[in-house]
Amino acid sequence: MIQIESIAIKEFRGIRDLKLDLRSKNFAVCGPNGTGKSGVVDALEFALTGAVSRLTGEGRGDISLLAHGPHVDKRAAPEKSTVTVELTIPSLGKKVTIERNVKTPRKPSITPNTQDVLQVLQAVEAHPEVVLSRREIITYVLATPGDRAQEVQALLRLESIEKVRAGLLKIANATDREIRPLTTAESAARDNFLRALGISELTKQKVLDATNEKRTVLGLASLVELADSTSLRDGLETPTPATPQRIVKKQASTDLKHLRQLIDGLGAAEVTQEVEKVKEELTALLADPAAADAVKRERFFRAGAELVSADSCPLCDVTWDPVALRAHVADKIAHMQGIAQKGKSIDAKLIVLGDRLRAIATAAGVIRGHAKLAEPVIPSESLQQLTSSLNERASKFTVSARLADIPAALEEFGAISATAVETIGKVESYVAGLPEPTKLDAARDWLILAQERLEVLREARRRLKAGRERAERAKKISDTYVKASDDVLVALYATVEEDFVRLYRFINRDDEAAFQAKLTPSMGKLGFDVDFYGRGFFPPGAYHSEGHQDGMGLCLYLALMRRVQGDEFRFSVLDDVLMSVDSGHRREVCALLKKEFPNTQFVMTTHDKIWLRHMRTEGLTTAQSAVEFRNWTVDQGPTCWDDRDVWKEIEDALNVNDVRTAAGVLRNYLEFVSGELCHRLRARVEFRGDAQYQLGELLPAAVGQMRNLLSKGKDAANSWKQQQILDDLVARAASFGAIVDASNVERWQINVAIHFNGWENLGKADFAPVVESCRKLVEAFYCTVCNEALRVSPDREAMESVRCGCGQTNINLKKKA
Amino acid sequence: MSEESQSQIGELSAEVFEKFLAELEQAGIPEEVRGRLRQTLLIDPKFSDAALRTAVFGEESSQ
Repeated sequence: MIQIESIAIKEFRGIRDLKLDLRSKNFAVCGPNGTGKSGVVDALEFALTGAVSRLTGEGRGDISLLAHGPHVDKRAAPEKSTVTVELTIPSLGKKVTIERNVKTPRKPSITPNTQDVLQVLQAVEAHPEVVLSRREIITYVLATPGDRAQEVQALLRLESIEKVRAGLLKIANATDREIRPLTTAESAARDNFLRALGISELTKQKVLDATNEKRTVLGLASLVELADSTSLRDGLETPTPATPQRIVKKQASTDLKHLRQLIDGLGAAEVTQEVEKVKEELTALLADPAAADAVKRERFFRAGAELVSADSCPLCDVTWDPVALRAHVADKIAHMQGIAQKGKSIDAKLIVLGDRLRAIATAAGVIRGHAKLAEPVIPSESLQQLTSSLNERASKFTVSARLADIPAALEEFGAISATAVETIGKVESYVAGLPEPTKLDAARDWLILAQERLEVLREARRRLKAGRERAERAKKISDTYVKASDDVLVALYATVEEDFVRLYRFINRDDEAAFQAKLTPSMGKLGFDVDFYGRGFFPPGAYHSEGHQDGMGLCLYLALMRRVQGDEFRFSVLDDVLMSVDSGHRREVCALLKKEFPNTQFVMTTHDKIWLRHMRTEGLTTAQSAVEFRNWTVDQGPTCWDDRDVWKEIEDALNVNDVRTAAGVLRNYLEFVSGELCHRLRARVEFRGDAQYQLGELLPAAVGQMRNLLSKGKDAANSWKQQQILDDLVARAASFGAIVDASNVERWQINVAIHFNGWENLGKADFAPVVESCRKLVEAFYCTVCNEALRVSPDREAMESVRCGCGQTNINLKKKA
Repeated sequence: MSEESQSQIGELSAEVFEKFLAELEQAGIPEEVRGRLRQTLLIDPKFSDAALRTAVFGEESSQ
């Protein structure tokens, strides 16, 4: 995708002014904690995405990029806080410059800003997973399966897959839920139609028989077929719109009778017994607080499972895959099976009782309609209140109700307000007082009402059919999607698993060459179990050491990135991710990155010099592709171990007669460079377990080893009878000896200046020769052409030569046999 | 599918969507519905609930 050529950071986070040349190669940033390594990572992330994840997210409180992105002394001038990155896009063969400032992070200056370039940069910006920190490694290895799935899906850019899955499931659930009210409406319409016709069973023949009886009275032809478009009142004169609607006496009487029967039914012995039975079961349940609590939970989970339709928990809004959430809730319900049986038994009874109340509510609504047609109108608010009251009471007889509310609702189960009963009585009296229609009028009213109710029934059935078809289509589409996505994801995770195992085996081939792992996707989760030395599969955090877990996290990340980006996996920042990889496997990690990802530019930070050396030893980085921060100050930001900086810094200090500072910098630098030289020349230093070597241990060892190597070189040249080389080496050894002698004479003053507070007695004139002698000594270890410190090759086993990076220096150490 | 669309939804998502659409045909979902889903998932990616509902049911989806 991209590779970084260079980065220039100004007044950003803890950095004042820093430029690093990465040259599209692997690059290491090393330095003790607090020297500014993270600032470089933040700057890279900022340049590429316009954001700094360290400054956002959970627990960041009032911290923001605008307020805290600039260097602390430039808070008032965020426009001066800039990061400029020069990068290449290998796939386009283009070099691009991005410059962002903290004031307008979303408006980077991009050159060139052609469409193809912007497209690549947008892809990088949308998925900043190129930056991996140790904190993020944990999310791959130690997270819960649900969290891991989310993290991995984000890395694999699978969000859209999950979003569509959740969306289609939501539609399927919603359309499924729409069927129940449509079914209820169809049932009510059918009952009303049957009552209007005065028949008990809905068959074509019975409808035709009842209809033709009335049509005969009116002299209308009998209907022979009942098709979807048949009108029962076909041929009947259509009443004009001005004709006021009348109450059909017979139908109103039937509706009133129906309501009375329903109300009377509440007091029937079998219903009363059922209510008492539920009360007893509830009382027993509530008397046992533990059982009651368990039932409450079980009812809660069941209600929750029904409410899951979006991609978040309906209770706490935490984001979930709805499929996973429903499965999670179903698991909990399954664990409460015993309690669930008690709860289900009570619920089944409550549902029947609730249906009785709803039926009365519906019938009361029909009577209210008749009351409104009376002349004068019969006030019917009491019936409206009755309908509301019964529906509310019925709502407490459901699984989602509070357990504690049910007994009170049962106590008033059969209660019908006196005012409602009075209103019903008034409507009954009014209807009874209506004149009996003539036979012709009765037949006409019958046909009109029957046709009206038939049309309502037809519409209800049409809606129910359409609702079922919609639900069926939505379910089929959702199911097909789940299957298709699962098929792809299972195959995907299988390839990731295979690659992960291969990568992990590579870095642990000494003791886990038969390592196995299982990545198991299921219902929005991603299980991850690993083999522990053939003893079985366990979660990664169960037995493996922290170092091994870090290795797993890195390998899983690399396998995922390779799967999703393929050949376009060209850039990655590993921010101190390897800090706990055990020392025995560090070389292997470096070798892995070099061997398996030769086209990927890794930018790695570490506070561990040993790591840095392993990177160089394995050829992952070179001396030129690394920077070592030696310290950090708020005024200057990080300072690097760069020769030009050091000698210039010392000179600047001496120019103001600040010998103490000059001596401190010189000593620290000599300590650093001596360690580096000992490593490169394979010098012998007395081992220290804490790796805290001092200048007095390192510099003499480096000098001694250089003398030794020059001597060996002379012996080898002599054995091969290479006189010219021998002469050169003799001269070089003599020159080196003179430089060493000079520095030995002068060097004592360094310690005086630092440790014995003798600095007040020294001036520039005293200390400048010390500096000069040390500079010459250091230079004697470097190639004058490529400016790289000399090194022994190979870095293990028998020494064969002393080389530099460019080949200018190549001293053979092997004598002729 | 345009390159722009591909970059918006990612290679793996596109793979899933293509497989899904192919399997919808076998499941007997009408071509008209499949066409709308292809438009919503691959050609002009929009994954909101409303967009998906319209793709599944057409313009009468508000019913």
